[in-house]
Amino acid sequence: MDSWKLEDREFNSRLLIGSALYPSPQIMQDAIRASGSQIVTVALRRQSATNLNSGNSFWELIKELNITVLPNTAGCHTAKEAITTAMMAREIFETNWIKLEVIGNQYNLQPDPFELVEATRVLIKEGFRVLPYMSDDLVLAQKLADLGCKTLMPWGSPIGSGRGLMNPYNLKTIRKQFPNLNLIVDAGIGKPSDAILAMELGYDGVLLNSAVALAQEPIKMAKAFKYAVLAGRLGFKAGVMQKRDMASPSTPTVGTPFWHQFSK
Amino acid sequence: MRVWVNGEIKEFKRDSLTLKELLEELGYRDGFAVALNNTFVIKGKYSTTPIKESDRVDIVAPIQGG
Repeated sequence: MDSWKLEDREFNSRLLIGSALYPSPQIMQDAIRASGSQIVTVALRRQSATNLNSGNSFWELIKELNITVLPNTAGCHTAKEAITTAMMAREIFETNWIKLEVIGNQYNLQPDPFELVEATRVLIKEGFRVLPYMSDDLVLAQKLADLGCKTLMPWGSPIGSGRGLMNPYNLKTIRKQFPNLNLIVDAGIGKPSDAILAMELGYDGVLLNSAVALAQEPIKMAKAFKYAVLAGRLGFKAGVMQKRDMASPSTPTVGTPFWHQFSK
Repeated sequence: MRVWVNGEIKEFKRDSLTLKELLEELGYRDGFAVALNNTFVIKGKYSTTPIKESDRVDIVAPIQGG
């Protein structure tokens, strides 16, 4: 088993999965189970007392999964909002892990690097383990690492776009420059081959939601991603062969019947 | 006294109110966290946190997230 350490915990699965947008709560629970993921992302939103007192069935379903919960700060646009949300999440979910999201642009939901750095600075001082959702910017990665982040989560492409890895070069550069950090491609994954590519680049994990929840058959797609992440990781570990310009026969040529010398 | 609760104005008959009293009056029991004027308030301080006119209280609970 290819176990790995993320922050202060050990995991076997390298697939992190979201809990939103599924056709039904039951499909959400079944899909998360089928994915084999051991980390699920959740969020916080305003709730009326009436809703809350009738029982939070979503939260009950998540607790039944008995896996690590990673709260996010989705929807926050300033460091202040993200810090407050992280603190509320720590109290409710009883975890100091936070997927730190600070959105800078409403069109492509691109993270705001300046607010992200500021929120990270404060939250690390407050004892949080910050897993920042970030653009694929090498200098930003350096700033976050300097502040003490042990995990970075650059985007593959905009949240919910399903466009895959827009800039494998940038992702690869971040991987090369930070061999000792945990790197997770977060957002933009659309199909299993996107996850395979992320893992082949040497990323430690993949975080996705829409790709499974919005698939025609989410449970089947969750399984597909489980195997994609495994395949990509194994491929990376095994070491990919060198590309060649010319063909090279895989079947031995010695003893080929009817063999003759080509003139060209 | 009028207070913004989750983005809506709520009217309270009393002139002085703690956060704990406000939450009780609205019927909140458990499974939530609170921010007062965009700043987090830990559970243990609800009873000693005074609420003023036009304060903004946000009460949040777990939901689906990506």
